[in-house]
This record gives sequence, structure tokens and C-alpha cells, in this order.
Amino acid sequence: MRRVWKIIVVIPFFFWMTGCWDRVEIEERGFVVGVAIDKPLSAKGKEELTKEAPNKPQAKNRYAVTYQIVVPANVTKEGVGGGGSGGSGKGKASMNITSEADSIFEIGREMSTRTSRTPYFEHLKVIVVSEEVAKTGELPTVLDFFLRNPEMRRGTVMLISKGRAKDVLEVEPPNEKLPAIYLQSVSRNTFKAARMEPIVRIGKLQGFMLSKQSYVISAVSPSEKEVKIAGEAIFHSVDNKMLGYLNEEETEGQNFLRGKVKGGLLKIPVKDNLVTYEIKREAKNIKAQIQGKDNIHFTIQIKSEGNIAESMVHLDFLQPNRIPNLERLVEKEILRMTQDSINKIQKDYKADVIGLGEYLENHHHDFWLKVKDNWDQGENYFSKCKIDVEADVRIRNVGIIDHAANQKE
Amino acid sequence: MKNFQYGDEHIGYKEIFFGVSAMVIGQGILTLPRILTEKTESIDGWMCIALGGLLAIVSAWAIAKVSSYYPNQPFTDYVKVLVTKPIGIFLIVFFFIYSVGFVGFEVRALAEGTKLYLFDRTPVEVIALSFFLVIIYAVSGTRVALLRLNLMFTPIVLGVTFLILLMNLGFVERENFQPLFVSSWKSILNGTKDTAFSFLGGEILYFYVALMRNPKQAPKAALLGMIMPVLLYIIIFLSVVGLFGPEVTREIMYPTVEMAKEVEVPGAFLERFESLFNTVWIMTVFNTASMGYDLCLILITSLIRKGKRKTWIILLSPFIYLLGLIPKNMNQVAKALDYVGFMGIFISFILPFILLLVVALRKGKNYA
Repeated sequence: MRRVWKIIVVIPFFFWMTGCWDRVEIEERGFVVGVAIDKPLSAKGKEELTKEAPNKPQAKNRYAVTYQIVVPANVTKEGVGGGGSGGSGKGKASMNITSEADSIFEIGREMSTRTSRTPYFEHLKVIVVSEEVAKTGELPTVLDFFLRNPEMRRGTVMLISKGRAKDVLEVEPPNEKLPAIYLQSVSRNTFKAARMEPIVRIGKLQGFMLSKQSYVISAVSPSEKEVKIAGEAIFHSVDNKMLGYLNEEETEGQNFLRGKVKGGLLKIPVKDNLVTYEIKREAKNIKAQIQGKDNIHFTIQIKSEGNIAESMVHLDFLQPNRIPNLERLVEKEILRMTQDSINKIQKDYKADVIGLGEYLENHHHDFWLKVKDNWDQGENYFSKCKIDVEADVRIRNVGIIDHAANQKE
Repeated sequence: MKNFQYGDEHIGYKEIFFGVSAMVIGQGILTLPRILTEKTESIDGWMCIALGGLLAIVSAWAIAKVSSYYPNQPFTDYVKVLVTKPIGIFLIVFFFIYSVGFVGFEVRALAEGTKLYLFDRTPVEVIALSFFLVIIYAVSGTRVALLRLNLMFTPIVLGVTFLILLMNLGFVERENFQPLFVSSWKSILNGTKDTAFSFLGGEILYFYVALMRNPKQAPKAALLGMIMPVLLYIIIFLSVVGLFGPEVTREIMYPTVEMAKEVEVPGAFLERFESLFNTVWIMTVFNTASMGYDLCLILITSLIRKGKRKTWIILLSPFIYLLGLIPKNMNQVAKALDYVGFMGIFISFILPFILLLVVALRKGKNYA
């Protein structure tokens, strides 16, 4: 009798011991690696929807979202070149699916009705938003889904595309299989080029939006085989609207001002030709003299260390005055560039993307509380303050050729 | 001549040390950074943790001290002697209600958290039930085994946590550590109140000191056992805020889990590092909840001296499980845990000092 009872007690256990409820086999998962967000090309979708279901709730805006999904079978296949575009291109390592709706989440779910795989976002690498969407100030609404969903990572790279965002995911890089991975790698190369904004991760972006700071996001322009990340889109703190672009020069200047240069080069004119200075290290230090709300004087000290990477003029680098002179020239170049970007940022866009507000908040907290609401909006004290730049450059190494042609001098 | 040392029903210094740590480290660590950045400015929340921690350390010491006056007697015995029988029984009932609520809502909170990050389609009821069944299994064994489990789990938990902290170090931004000391004293005290919930757990000492071979060691073990979670919480708070900045931390439901998600192993071959964190977190909550359930059993068997331990487990379990399912959503669970927490604050942070005072008065009388 005892045995019978034991068996009766045990049997119900089988019902929930059947294994994982949430199991999705790996070959059934659709790994989404890239997302591109555009405005719909025409208003047709909306009209149709209104006709079909006039009372269905609708959001203010509609988006055309492209998901890039990995096709695992083709990633490892040898001899298959290129990443992919289009729905059914054979042998491609990824496929792009575009769908249109007013909710980004809905588009994701709709996708599972169109492919055999359920979308899975844990490995999302890059989100591209078109400038069209960015200019309307809808960035926070668009990103809400990506920040809210527990599947997402805050390390996803964020890019703004010049033109349609979908085109960026359609590039076919010859050396990489997945366009999204390609984009991620390119955007990580900041240590080679000072004109690239250090990558913006969506987690950081949320920080900017919540702390009401103006911010910049790398801009990317697509072509058929490759993309180019250069320059950046500048966003205003208040409405998150994209104001415009900083070109490569101004981006570089802005990077210097923020102390974010990780590498890259500066070309300095010597005689009638060029000497190239390779930036190895860069740091900034801000000082502020505050004499009232309208009279704030910032001094940004930029320190840099680097090498001579290339010289198109024949110079004897061992001459005692040579290096100090070159250092002064590099300093001059830094000052020129930073001044250009200050002019653009402060006078044209009037949006503080140099981090001066953050500096005031951290070091002059009481004063900051007074100007906070009118910093780069309203009264815009930011546009009225005076910004000076000082540069201090050390050339550490001149390369192996010393006396190239000193006889010419 | 003790060949089989662990066979006895006594515990030592280590068990108390790890027991307190394991009991304290739990649910609170996940949401604490958010709660503190909501209440205070910038990164000042660490002062709340330090203040709350100090209170918790002193209280843990006091509980151990009181209990060590009565060697081999648990709370349920000595409290009746100390504060007369009726008050003693009232305290035991109060304590019982607290620990039942604590276990029920702790199980629910764990189920909610794991559902969000791991089991998207599994109903909360099922997650809670399977977790609760494991707890039931744990408390069905001996009490000492339960305590020794802490010795095994806590080092793993600490190890993984420190690994995550270490790997995030590169992403921590210096700007987020400034400005310092900008919050008002009022908001610091307000935040300290919230940290008190996270430092509940010293109450296990009321019972487990009685199991000690040498109760004189108890106060020191309790003290050190409490210092560990306090330091851990401060370090975690600083890294979370250093990583996200106060503005973002405020907006994330479980900032500590998000921190674990931030980890990027170089070479990108191991991307989902947070699964490790989720595992150890479930381990800590398991330790906490099973010790909590054990307290329920000690208390109820002291009130009603009939029935075996197993009988009480069968009687109590459905009740605790259903209690945990009452709240409708995550916010209500948090609120329920708060109400329970208020009871816990009395038991852990106020009662020990009252008892200590009574002990002192009685002693004075005896020796006078």
C-alpha cells in the first residue's frame, strides 16, 4: 500500500519535469545582428491600415525597420564571399528583412511570421538610424524598445546614416561575411583615426538623454562595397533633434576638446610640404573662471604625445631646435582645428558637446544648479562663454631616419 | 578521536560567519543602486550604505551577544525567560509572521527576476514552484547541513561577483564619480533607511548561535560576517554608478544585472556572461530563503510543540507558496517586501538592543 502511495505522489512530478519551458533550439533562433531604422518610403502603409481597421490605435509615426539575421549555415561555408542583402540571395551569410509598422516591437514579432526563425536579440551588434528619423527628434522613442527589452545589451553600437539606414546594412564588404560585424569593427578603429568619434553605445546614449546633455553620434555613409564612418551627427539636449553634422575636421577638433583622441595623425606644414605627426596619447584638462552667468571663461589645456610618422621634407631631426619647433607647429595645428570646431559647436549649433556643462556640474556644483536650465537652451549661457584652448605637445620619437638629407640644408 | 567530525549537530565560527553573509546577500543587491540613486544626488549613495551597514554590523553583534549569554538555548527559549512569557510568545508570533512573509515574497521576487532575464515564456507560478520545491528539499534535511551549504556557495558567489566587477573596470568612467558630497543630510538619511532592508539577515543569529560549540566566538563571527556584505555592497554600488552614471542607474530596474550584461570578454567568444551572474544570484537567494524557511519551522515548532518537522513543512509550504503569489506585479512584490522589511527592521535592528538592555538590568539585579 505504501508503495502505491509513493507512486501516486511521484507521478505528478513528471508533468513539470519535462525540461525547459523556454527551450528554443539554437538552429531555430534567428540571431539579429543589425537593425536599421528608416522612415517609410511612402504613406501607403498607413493609408491601407486606416482603411482596413479605422479604429485601431496608431502611434504618431511609422517606421520601416530592417533586421539583419545571420544564416549560420553560410557563415562557416568556405569560398562564399560577401555578406548579404535581399531576402533570398543564395549562399549569403545574412539576410535582411524589412517591415513597416508603428511599433518597433511589433515589427520584430511580425518578422517571425515571415521567416522560419524567431528573432533573438542577445547578439545585436549595431543599430543604424537614418538622419531622417534623427532629425525629427524621435530617437528616444525609437530606442525605447532596445533599452527596455531584457534581451538587449547596452553595448550595442549606435550609428546615424547619411541617407537611408537600410543601405548601410546592405553593403557587401569583401573581407567580412556579416555587414553588421563589419560595421562594428570599423567603428572600433578609433585608435587609428582621430576624425572618428569614439563609438557610442546605446547605454551611454541613454545616459546623455537622461542627464540632458547634448551629444554626438558617429555618422556613416554607405556605398556598395564599404561604408565610411567619418564625421558625426550632433544632437541637442532638449528635444533630441539632430541639428546637423560636424565634418571630419570638426569631429577631430571636438575629440581633442573632450580628450577622447585615442590615435590618429596630424599633418603639419613645414616649408612647402608636410610632416605627419602620429598621435599616441591625448588628454585634456579644463579650468574655469566664473565671474557671473554671462561671464564664464574656460581654459581647455590639451596635452598630447606622439611620434613623427612621415616626413616629406628633408629635415635633420637631431638639430637641437628642430623638435621644439615642430612641437610648436603641431600645437598651432591643434589650436586651429579646435578653434574651428568650437566656432561651429558654440556659435552655429549652440549645443554643448564638449562637456563643459558636465565639468561645471562636477567641479562648480552650486553654480551649475543656477545655470543648469539655461545652459545650452533658453538663455544659452554656453554660447556666451569664452573658451580658450592651450596645447602642449611632446614629440617622443622621430623614427629611424635621422640624417635623411641634412646636406641639403 | 573524532573521525567523523561533521556528523555532529554543532557548528563553529566559520558557519556563523558565512551564514550571516549568505543571509544578508540576497535580493537587495539587485535593486539597491537604483533605489539609492533615486534618493540621493550623484554618487553619494555609498554613504547611505556605509551608515546602514554600520547599524547592521552593530546590531548583528548585539544579537550574537545576547544569544551567547544563553549557550545552547535558541531565541524561542530564552526570550520567554528574558521578557516574561506573554511578551515572549507575542515576539515569537511576530517573528513567525515576518519569516513566513519573507520566504514567500523572496521566492516570488526571484521568480519575477529570472522570468524577466531567463524564462520568457514560463509562467511565474511554475518558476516559483520549482524553486520553492528545492527549498523544501533543503529544509527537510538537517539544520547544520543547511548552514554548511553556505560555506560552499558563498565563496562561489563572491568569486563570480568580483570577476564581473573586475571585467567592468575598463568601462567605468571617472566623470561619474564626481561631484562628491552634494546630497543633503536629509536625503542621505532617507537613503539609509532603504539600505536597512538590504542588510536584514542578522536575525538568524537568534537561533544559530545556540548550535555553536563555543558561543563566546559568536559576536566576533557575526561582526565579520556582516562587514563582508557591507563592503561588497559599497563596491558594487560604486561600480554600477561609475559604469552607468547616476541618471541611468535611476532608470534601470535591476542595475546590478545590467552591469553583469555589460561585461565583454576580450575576443568576444563568450558573450553572455550574465548567465553566470544569474546562476550565482539564484544560489544566494536559495541560501537566504532556505534559512528563512528554517526559522519559520523553528518558531512554529516552539509555539505548538506537537508534530514533526516534516509535518510542519507539508502544512506550511502551500500557505507560503500561495502567499508569495498574491502580489499582482513587480511593484507590488517590492511593496510587500517593504512591509515585511519593516517587521524585520524591528527584529534585527531594534529588538537586539532592547534585549541587551534587559540582560544588563537582570544581571545587575542578580549580582547586586
